[in-house]
Amino acid sequence: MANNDIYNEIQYPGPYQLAWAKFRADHVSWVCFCIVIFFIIVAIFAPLVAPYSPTEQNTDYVLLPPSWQNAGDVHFLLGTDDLGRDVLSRLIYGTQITFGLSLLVALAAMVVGLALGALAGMSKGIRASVFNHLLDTILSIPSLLLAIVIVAALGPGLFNTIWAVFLVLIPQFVHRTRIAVQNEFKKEYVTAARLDGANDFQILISSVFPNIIETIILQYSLAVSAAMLDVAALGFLGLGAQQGSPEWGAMLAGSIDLIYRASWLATLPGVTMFLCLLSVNTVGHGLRNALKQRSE
Amino acid sequence: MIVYFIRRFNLLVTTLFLLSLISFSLAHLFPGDAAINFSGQQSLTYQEYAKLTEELALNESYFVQYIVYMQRVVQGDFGNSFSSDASVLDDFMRVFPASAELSAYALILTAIVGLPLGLWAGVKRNSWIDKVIFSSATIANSIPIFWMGLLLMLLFSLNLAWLPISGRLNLLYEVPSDTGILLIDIALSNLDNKYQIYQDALRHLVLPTITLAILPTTILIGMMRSSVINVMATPYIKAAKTKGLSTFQIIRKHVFRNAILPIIPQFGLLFNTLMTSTMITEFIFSWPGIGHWLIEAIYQRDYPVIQAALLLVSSFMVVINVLSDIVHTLLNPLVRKEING
Amino acid sequence: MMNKLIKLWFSTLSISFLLAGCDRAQDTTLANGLIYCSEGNPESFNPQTTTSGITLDASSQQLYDRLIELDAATGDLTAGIATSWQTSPDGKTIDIFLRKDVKFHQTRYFIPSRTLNAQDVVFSFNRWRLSTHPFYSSADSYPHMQSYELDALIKDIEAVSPYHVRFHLNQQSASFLHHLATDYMVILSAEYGAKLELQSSKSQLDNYPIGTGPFYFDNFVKDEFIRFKAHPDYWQGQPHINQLVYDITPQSSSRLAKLITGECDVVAHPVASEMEVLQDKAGVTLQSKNAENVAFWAFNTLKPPFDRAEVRRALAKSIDRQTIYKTIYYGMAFPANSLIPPSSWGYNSNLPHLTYNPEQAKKELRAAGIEEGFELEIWSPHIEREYNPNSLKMAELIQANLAAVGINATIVDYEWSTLRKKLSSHEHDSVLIGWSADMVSPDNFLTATLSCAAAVIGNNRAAWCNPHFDELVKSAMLSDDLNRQKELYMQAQSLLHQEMPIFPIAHSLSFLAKQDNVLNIKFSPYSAISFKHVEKIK
Repeated sequence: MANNDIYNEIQYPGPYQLAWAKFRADHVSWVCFCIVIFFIIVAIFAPLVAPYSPTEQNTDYVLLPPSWQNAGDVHFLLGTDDLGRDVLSRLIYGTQITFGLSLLVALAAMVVGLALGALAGMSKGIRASVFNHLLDTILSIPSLLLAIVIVAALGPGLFNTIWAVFLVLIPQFVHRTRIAVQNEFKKEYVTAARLDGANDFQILISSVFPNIIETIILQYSLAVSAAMLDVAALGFLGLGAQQGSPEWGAMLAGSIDLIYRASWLATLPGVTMFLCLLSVNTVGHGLRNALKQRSE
Repeated sequence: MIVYFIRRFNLLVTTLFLLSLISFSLAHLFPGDAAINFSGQQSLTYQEYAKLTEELALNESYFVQYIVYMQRVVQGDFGNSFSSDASVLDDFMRVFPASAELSAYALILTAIVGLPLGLWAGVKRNSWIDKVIFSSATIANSIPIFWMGLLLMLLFSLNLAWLPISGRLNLLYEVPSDTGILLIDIALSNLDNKYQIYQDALRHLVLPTITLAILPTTILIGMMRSSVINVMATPYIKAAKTKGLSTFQIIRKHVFRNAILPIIPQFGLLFNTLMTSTMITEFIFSWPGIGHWLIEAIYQRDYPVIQAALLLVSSFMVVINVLSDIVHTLLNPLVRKEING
Repeated sequence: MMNKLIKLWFSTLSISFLLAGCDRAQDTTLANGLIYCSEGNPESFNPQTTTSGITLDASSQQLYDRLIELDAATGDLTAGIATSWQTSPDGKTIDIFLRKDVKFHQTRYFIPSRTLNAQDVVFSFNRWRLSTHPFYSSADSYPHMQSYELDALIKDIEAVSPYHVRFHLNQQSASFLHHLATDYMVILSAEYGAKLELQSSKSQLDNYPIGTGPFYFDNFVKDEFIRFKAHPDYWQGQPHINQLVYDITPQSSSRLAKLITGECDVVAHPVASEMEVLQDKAGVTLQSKNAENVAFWAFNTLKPPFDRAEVRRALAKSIDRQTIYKTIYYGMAFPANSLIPPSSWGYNSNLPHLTYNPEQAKKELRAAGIEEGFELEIWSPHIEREYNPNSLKMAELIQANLAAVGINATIVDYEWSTLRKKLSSHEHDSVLIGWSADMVSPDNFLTATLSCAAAVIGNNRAAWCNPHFDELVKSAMLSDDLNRQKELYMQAQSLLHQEMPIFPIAHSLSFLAKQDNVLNIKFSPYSAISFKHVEKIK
């Protein structure tokens, strides 16, 4: 039926728009979302934003405090470390490593986890049972322990850390996807689609995925925060990013020796990491609330 | 019910089998020679090496090797540490109680702080008190634990000089290790200055326990809060309200018990968080437990220790997870009904 | 239930607050013991088997005595277990007369039945000297003795009477008595050795030590602590403290923090970066010792392209050492131009100075066929050494310098004893390490680090073996004429400068920080730390 009354067109917000509106209405989440976007921009454009290279040693300006202190220097906004490297630039490049890589690795894990999870959700019988057991095994090991063991096998280093975090994150996505897919497949609209002659794959793509995408996004926000914590923790323990890398955890570990003399070196990476984690977590919470409110 | 237990048991066995498989393959995956990685004996003569290869069946198929490995594991033979040359199992038995003790106290602290706060927040949903509790939990949840440990240390030990920062006890006190659990060992010992030793041990406990408890507490608050909110919305609470029971009575009689039940299966998750935090806490406060042991082993490229630690710790985690599942089933009539019905 | 829970909650909270407020009650255990926060795990408790400073610190002066001691202040040799000694006119026979009533440790694993006599001296020396000795093979190597080839120098040792030992040397040696005074020449118990041989548990000799020193070994838990107890029958009198505990704390910031919270009485190698803070801190004293050491960057000359001197020289030119002095040593070190420090009479002051010239270095590297993007590993220990307060940071600086000449360096950090194990198999490209002198003579810097003998046993970090260099150092050691010696050492150093198997970085002052109430720690060059006379005032 054609709609002739174009002036009184009633627009019903779609489910995504509805959730988005709910999300925006929550001010705290919205602010945190903006902070996350800010961090993403910083991570992408780090070389443009950072005033110096993260490894450039200005040996004439060693251990300068942040510029708001008397001994500070405006050229080095957040001061310099013991090798004369600009702390602000290091934090910015650190965003690229700790936060940026976490975003990417979580994304990669999501893609792989989604595929495996969908397979697991649709398969039945002995294969599914073996697969689920395997999953339970991996899920029952704490992620950091697993990452530590993987790093121990591969040898310390940032690259291996990323691998480890990637492997650690996959099972969680698989788990979530599997349960979501299984639930969806039980629903009547899937049966209806099946009666129309659609095969499993078509149902998955056109019916199930759009319905579980929100669960996955939620899981993604959790994964990013977990990835950041693991990357930073391994860096802090000296098993991840190499000594001297601007990775936040490694920066923190490197500055402990100077905690009396240059406390800002330990404070600033900590504060940055906290801010970033808090924003990611709050966005996750906000998303969950928005979805919940919509369904209510 | 029996079918349920058999299924759980089956899960447990399969999982442990997979874990042992991973642990077994690590000896081949780690750099260096498998014979040395399995046994931990580094300075071998040619004859000794040949004998060892024979014993470990390294010339046989992987299947036979795995059987031999499992036989050794069952006998408690995890080889020797590269760096201390001591038996890995002995080392594990020494560090495990220290971790267990710290985790137990942290868990108690978590329960003492987390449950009431979660309950409070849940009951007073959307009030300012809920917001304060919930947002502080979110904030605490976002502080990386290693940074938190440093901050606590900086404040309470270095600036205020109230508390020591490392170890379980002043090393000059010599408490014989009978159980490995320090507070019990002190009681069992025949030292005459027990009071001072207790005081010292407790002072050493404060910072690690708090650091370790923070993350699980925030999680428990969240779980408890949402569980309480669910319970508060149930018809029987409404019925109780109409019966004229005071809020306090309702909470005491109905909410608390019913809100705790759904949390029990998530206890495994809580425990996972706790174990992860234990690693880092032990590292920061030089607490001589599993985390400290494992991380030192990685620094020292001590492969037999890493291999054994993975197997032992993760098996322990799996057992705890399955147990919490079973306990939940036994306690919760609803789930029992589902299974039987 | 709820009421009880709430009560429990409040009482727990209040208990924890009470505890936090409590002051430490002093009891005698704490006052009569000393905690030394050391930087790492010892490899064993026998100094004969190693040159690692950590092992020496944990064993040599605490557990053992030597025949002869070195007076650090005057440089004279003084009586130890030997009351007197006599060298024959040809210098090839040395008679040593032993003290009576020197008692061995009584521990839970060994009860001595007799006091020290000549048999113990013979046992201690033959253990590393004769490859046929039952205990010879229970250690991998005897680095000090083997790099000085002392096993070849000593022809025979003879127990003339229970308290009279005679050394027969193959040739005259001016430094032999000085060798006897080093940390390595400890006297073990022959009776204990015999017991272990019977039990066929020979490796215990080095891990469950028995000596005659001021403290006996009680317990060692790796990565945690070493516990020593006072030896009640020590021949120089019982130590003032009952208990000596080494708290193994690899992280320097933790050591400093523990000094401030009072958990350590003495800490090894306080962080150079915080030295200023410590100097002003009330209640804490710093003790320093002279820079009789050298930090260097050693290239593995077995591995191409580091087997070519021009590559090594070019690499040396690419390093900016001025920055290192400023940011790593905080001015507490002298630039090194040679292995031997300028304070030594053997130092060659005519050596051309090592200069920082990245442009030139780049050219030379390209000429030597090292292309842009060449990969190189720098190994570094995890912990501070007295010659290097922060080896990892130094590696970072070097990494940045190398990047400027087109070399991608990777830093590989190892825990100390793992590093030493890995180094002796010569798998590294290059390593940041150093040497602390254990003898006064200048050859000590050259023989133990770069001789062919040291290369064979894996103690030569450059794996560099140059017969001409060995010849020069050996003839210097044998010569009587000081001027001749000087000249030979000069030549040896020029050769090093030319060949550059190692790149010398700095001679560093080294420090010890302690609480004010701890007195009489012996912290001096040429020997390990000693707590023999230590006192803790209440």
